[in-house]
Amino acid sequence: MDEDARLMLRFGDGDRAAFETLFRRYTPPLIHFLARMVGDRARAEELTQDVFVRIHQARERYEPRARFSTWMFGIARRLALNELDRAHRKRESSLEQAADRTGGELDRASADPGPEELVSAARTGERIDRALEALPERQRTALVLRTDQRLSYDEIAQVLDTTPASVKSLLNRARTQLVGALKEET
Amino acid sequence: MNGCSRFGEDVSAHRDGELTGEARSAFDAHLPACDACRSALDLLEQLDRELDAMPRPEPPADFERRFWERIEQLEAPAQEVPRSGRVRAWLEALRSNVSAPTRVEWLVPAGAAAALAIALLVAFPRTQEPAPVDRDWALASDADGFELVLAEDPELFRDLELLEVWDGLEEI
Repeated sequence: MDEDARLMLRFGDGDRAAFETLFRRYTPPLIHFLARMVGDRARAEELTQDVFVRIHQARERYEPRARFSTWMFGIARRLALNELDRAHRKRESSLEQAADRTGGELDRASADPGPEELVSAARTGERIDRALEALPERQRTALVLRTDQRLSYDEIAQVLDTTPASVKSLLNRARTQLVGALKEET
Repeated sequence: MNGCSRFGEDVSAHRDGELTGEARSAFDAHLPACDACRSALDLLEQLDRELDAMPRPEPPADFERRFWERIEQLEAPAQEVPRSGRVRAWLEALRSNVSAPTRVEWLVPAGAAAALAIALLVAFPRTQEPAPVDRDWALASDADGFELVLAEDPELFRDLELLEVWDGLEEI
């Protein structure tokens, strides 16, 4: 059993300091992970609080079936997916309303950054940032968990509810995309 | 980035230390002779440096305080809610004490259902047989039981007989 799982069990027995240790340890990586997932720092902070609320509320029924971090990132990912779905529906609704106002079909491509914006994002970091945001969710999740959190393929597979072989493929595809951004001529 | 066609995905897994056993041995033997795979590994190292260099701002100073405030709000005791047995006790007390309108306060978790209940009660004239009461709306959506808030209203107490015969309350 990993140390964090032991801390969670101690919290379930009433040790608030154990929870505070977990809270302080995982707040920065959770905010970073969720910011990568939803693309909004402020919203990522709110979602991080949501993750810890759920962990706090689960204290009496927690069972360490996996590493604590795997369980925690699984919660975070589900909240991120809900947020992405909500944002997508809101965007679709806004586009439809705008189309109604203009009396015709809105060119949805106009919602994407135009050539001028792409050229202006000349710094490598910005290009990689954009490439990361453009990844399909599962590739982005796998990459962030691997590069930022150093989760193993087995652990990432548990978070994504898939196999380590699938994680290997997801990471390869994600990195291919990002290396493309790295090599892009400005 | 892919490396050569034979060991394409293994480049990434090798970088992560996830190649094991025979797969690892085969890749290790292959790497020195393959420019494409060595180039791909170099690019992955460069990518990792860029990703590591991305800013990771600290959480706001009040982040933890706000969290505990939220927990306090979530775990604050609910306002006093009479449970099912208390509804019956209230009715008994009211039967024995009713002579003038008396203020009684319960809590309503489903405000719309309670408002409808009150409207129905007030609408039934005393000289008529009470209309059949649909229980579903009264018991809807509150798994913990149904509690009723009655504002001070003399007409509600004149309809106490209706409450007494309302089977829905007996089942709560």
